[in-house]
Amino acid sequence: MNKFAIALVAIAALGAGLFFGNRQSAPDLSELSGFSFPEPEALADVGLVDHNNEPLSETDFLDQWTFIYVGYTFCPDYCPMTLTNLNQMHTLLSEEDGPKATTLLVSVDPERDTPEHLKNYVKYFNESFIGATGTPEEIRKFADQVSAVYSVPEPENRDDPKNYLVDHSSSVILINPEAEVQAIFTPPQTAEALAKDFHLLVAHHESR
Amino acid sequence: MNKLITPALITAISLLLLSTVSTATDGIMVAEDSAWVRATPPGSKTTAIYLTLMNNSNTDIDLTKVSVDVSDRVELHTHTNHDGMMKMQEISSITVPADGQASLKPHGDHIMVFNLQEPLKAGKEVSLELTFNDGNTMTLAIPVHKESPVSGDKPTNHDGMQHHGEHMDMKKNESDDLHQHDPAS
Repeated sequence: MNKFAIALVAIAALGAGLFFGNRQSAPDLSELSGFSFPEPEALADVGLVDHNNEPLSETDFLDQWTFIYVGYTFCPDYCPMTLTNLNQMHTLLSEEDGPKATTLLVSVDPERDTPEHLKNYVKYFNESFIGATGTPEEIRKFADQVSAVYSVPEPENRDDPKNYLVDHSSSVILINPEAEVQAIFTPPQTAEALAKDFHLLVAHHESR
Repeated sequence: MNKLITPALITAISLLLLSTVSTATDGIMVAEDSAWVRATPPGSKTTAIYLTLMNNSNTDIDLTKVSVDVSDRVELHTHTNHDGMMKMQEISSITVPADGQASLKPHGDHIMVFNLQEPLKAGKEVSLELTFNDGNTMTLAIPVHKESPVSGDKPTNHDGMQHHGEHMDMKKNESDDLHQHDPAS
């Protein structure tokens, strides 16, 4: 009887070891070039409009991975460069059978970036990209949730009423399929590093 | 016989090419294939021009003015990082250090173009005039590209001090350029 009990304990221990051992085989996120939030927070109360002038809420982020860039279309350097990199990253990802991923450009410059203008702009980089904007209040609320900072000059501080520049952070943010803010990639971002990070984060997400 | 001549010839050509690179003109040169302008997305009236300037004189030379044939408003810009925000600022000049380079590239110093008269399409060319503080001007035609054509032209991490730190890398790049001109390699 005792021997039987010991054997049971041994089998249980072995099982537990295998179980936890498997758990520990999740990819090592220390290899990320970006930063993964250990406890991702869910997007909430999102009230943006997409480039078709349709409402965009937090539920639109469910069941897919979304790369977000917060910028504006008047931007001559960072925004086109980053969207070009994201397009190259999507090309790399499309060569394999991975989970669905998309890119969203959120414009913080609704005065100049109408939904229609945003649509033409994002599709220049990739036909699947989506543009979004909103009221200054809604944009601010969203940007805060994805750790994006920006500063649109007040009309009285513009040298030229139409040719003003907007200061903004240039991070790429990744939203997971539960609509949670999963990771942030500060510049410089390359297509290769983003794709590699994405693989690690997806594998890690599936193992949790 | 050929075996004897070939190394001597290569050395001669190498020396000739090296001397062309280092002493052809006393002043500024644009590094080969480094200049390009970003094609514009629909509706966009702004773009940026990138190039690498090489100074083979023994004094610093400043780029002070740029004009283009596609716009009436061009500015020299730098990026600085203010509390995590990338701030683009107009600067009065960009210094090309003596025996060094200034690299204008994505996410760094660049030539900002406003008020584009029409969209810039990849494959076209833009005419550029550069004015320097030594009184010299330089005119060149540069290609329009959708993506950076410069190999290894990855954006650099800008910490606000990069303009100065970068010059050390440039010296390295310069020696790489020289190697590329060496027919023996």
